[in-house]
Amino acid sequence: MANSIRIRCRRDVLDSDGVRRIRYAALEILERTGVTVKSKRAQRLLVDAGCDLDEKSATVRMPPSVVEGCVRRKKRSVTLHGRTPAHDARLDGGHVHVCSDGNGTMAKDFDTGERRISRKEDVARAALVSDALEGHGVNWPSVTSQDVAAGTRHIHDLQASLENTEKHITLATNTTEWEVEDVLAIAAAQAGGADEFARRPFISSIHTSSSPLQIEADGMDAGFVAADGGMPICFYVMPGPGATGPVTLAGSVAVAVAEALAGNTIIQLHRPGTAFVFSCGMAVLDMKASMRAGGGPEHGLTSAAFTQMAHSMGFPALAGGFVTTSKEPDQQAAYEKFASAVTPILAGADMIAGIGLLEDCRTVWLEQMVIDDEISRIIGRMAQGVEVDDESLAVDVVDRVGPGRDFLGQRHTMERFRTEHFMPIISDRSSWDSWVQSGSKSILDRARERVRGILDEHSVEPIRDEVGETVAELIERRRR
Amino acid sequence: MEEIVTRLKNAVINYEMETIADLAKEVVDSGVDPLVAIEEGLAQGIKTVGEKFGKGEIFLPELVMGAEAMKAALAVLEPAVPSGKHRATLGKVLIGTVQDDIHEIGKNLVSTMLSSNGFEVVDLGVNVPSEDFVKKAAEIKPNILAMSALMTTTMPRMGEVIAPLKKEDPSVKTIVGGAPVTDVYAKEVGADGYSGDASGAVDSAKKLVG
Repeated sequence: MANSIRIRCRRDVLDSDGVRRIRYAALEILERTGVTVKSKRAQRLLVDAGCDLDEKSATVRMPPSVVEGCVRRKKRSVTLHGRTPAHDARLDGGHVHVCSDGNGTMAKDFDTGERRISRKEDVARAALVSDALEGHGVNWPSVTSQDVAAGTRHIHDLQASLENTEKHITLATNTTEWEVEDVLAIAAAQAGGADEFARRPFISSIHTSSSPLQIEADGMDAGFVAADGGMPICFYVMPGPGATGPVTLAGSVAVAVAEALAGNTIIQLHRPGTAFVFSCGMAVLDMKASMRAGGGPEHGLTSAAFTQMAHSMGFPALAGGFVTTSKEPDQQAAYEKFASAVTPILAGADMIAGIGLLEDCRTVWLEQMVIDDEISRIIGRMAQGVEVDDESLAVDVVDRVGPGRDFLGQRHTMERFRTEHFMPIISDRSSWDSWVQSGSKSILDRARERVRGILDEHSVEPIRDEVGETVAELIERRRR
Repeated sequence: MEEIVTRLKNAVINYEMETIADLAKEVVDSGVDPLVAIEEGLAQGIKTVGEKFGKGEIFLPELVMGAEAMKAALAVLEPAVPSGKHRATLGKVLIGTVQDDIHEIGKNLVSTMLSSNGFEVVDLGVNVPSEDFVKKAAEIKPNILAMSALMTTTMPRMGEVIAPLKKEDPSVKTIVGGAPVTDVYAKEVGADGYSGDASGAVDSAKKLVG
């Protein structure tokens, strides 16, 4: 599959006993403690299915039979369609699709270098750059448009994304029913009708819980509209170990799984057969800085454990990775992003979110996006592992070359070096002399050049004119 | 005639190292001037390959295979060149890894780069006794003598060659390289050129013959 990492060499972080115990713990949490569900529609669905509702606190206790019954109702095979079919991302458990992530509020201006509030142009540029990257598969708008009229952000975010990428778009700015309706109207304009869109949904919808164990009314009701429109639902949960979840990773993963199962139960009761993606971003609270420690070693571990839990129940997983709390694309950014990405990718998370952002997913840097693409492709090579077969063992080639000669001039070498070896794009492996001769460029300089090249040269298939008309109408109607 | 020379050029560009020798025989049989075939066919082909490598469009294995293809065709065409005639090159380079050092790959890369950039390269191999460099230089009269060493313990062999070589024929230029060699060391042993990598060796060689 284009722009994805094939997982040959899976590395789990939970053993089968761990998977079983976390599952039972999650079911116990749902049955004993329950989840606060504010949506009246959701409450009715749950009560009708046999759950227990405490009207006063809006707490719903869910019997395991209902929760597990709904696990079986979900859509089995989930494809996040691209705007063009070449970019379809099938969540088949064997590939990882790296996403840009999501809804940052700041941008480092590529031209002026200023760190400022994110604008629509940042959404557009980030989408165009990520569209060009081989190590990137799904576009979750990196930041959100804050230079537009109140009430129209979701419209602008989607328009800027559609215009600049052919890859699947997963959206999180549609948090109310009417916002989702707008998204569906724009999607239908591009697809040539609502039914056409539902057949090949190239936009999915992110909805969230509020940890620990709360599901808000607006977000859930918006999820119903999205599911009815045919959009896959990514239900994103974020218990932070030590703060909004137990300090222990196992305990917080159990809470996360409970929340995701609650979300699935509600969605499947509303519309059986909806594509549901278990989604999480779980970083601990730094006990000194009192900030979320996105990109810490626990972040990758929780993402990987949550992925295993999702897969054990037949759900695809979207998990946080490529995260850092660093303020600029420095060594801390590099090691935190690598560490938080490698664990869930090797665990086979179907989607990893995070590339391009710094300050714990707050600020987009286009240079960081191409650096993360390089990291993504490095981990992709790691996930390929060491393939052993007659062709790769190559004893005939060894015999032909013999002792003391080199393998460079062998056809075996030429035919395989591109797939057998990681091919760097911005990493520098030249000699000192060559490096000095070409200007002693830092990784940031080289990343900048690549971004510049993409911005100048990359283009995507244009969208339909109808999209512009629909967008204009909606903006007129929604602006406040 | 032109058509077969173009085919020869394309065979280098397409790395047809397994079959190019047959094509070269065809060239000889067809009566085409082997010197024209070398200069218009092989040299143009490897020039294209070398340029693509320089621009980063292709990678090392492709460059080496292009050079291998050229070598295979040269083995057929050169003996057919009438005596007294020589193909035009940027210059002749005698190359080898110094005595007691059997590291080959770096020296081979430099050979490949030089030949794909229009030099004629005579390769003495590895662990070349110092006096053999001097003897061979006296015999073939190269423009440049290039030496490689990968160990600090074998580096001094370079100086051992350069001193008597310069005494014999001061016009021969020398280039040294290899992981432990620096520009400072190169000057110390009296070398005319130095490079830290294979592409740099080409620039260095071009400067010395230019």
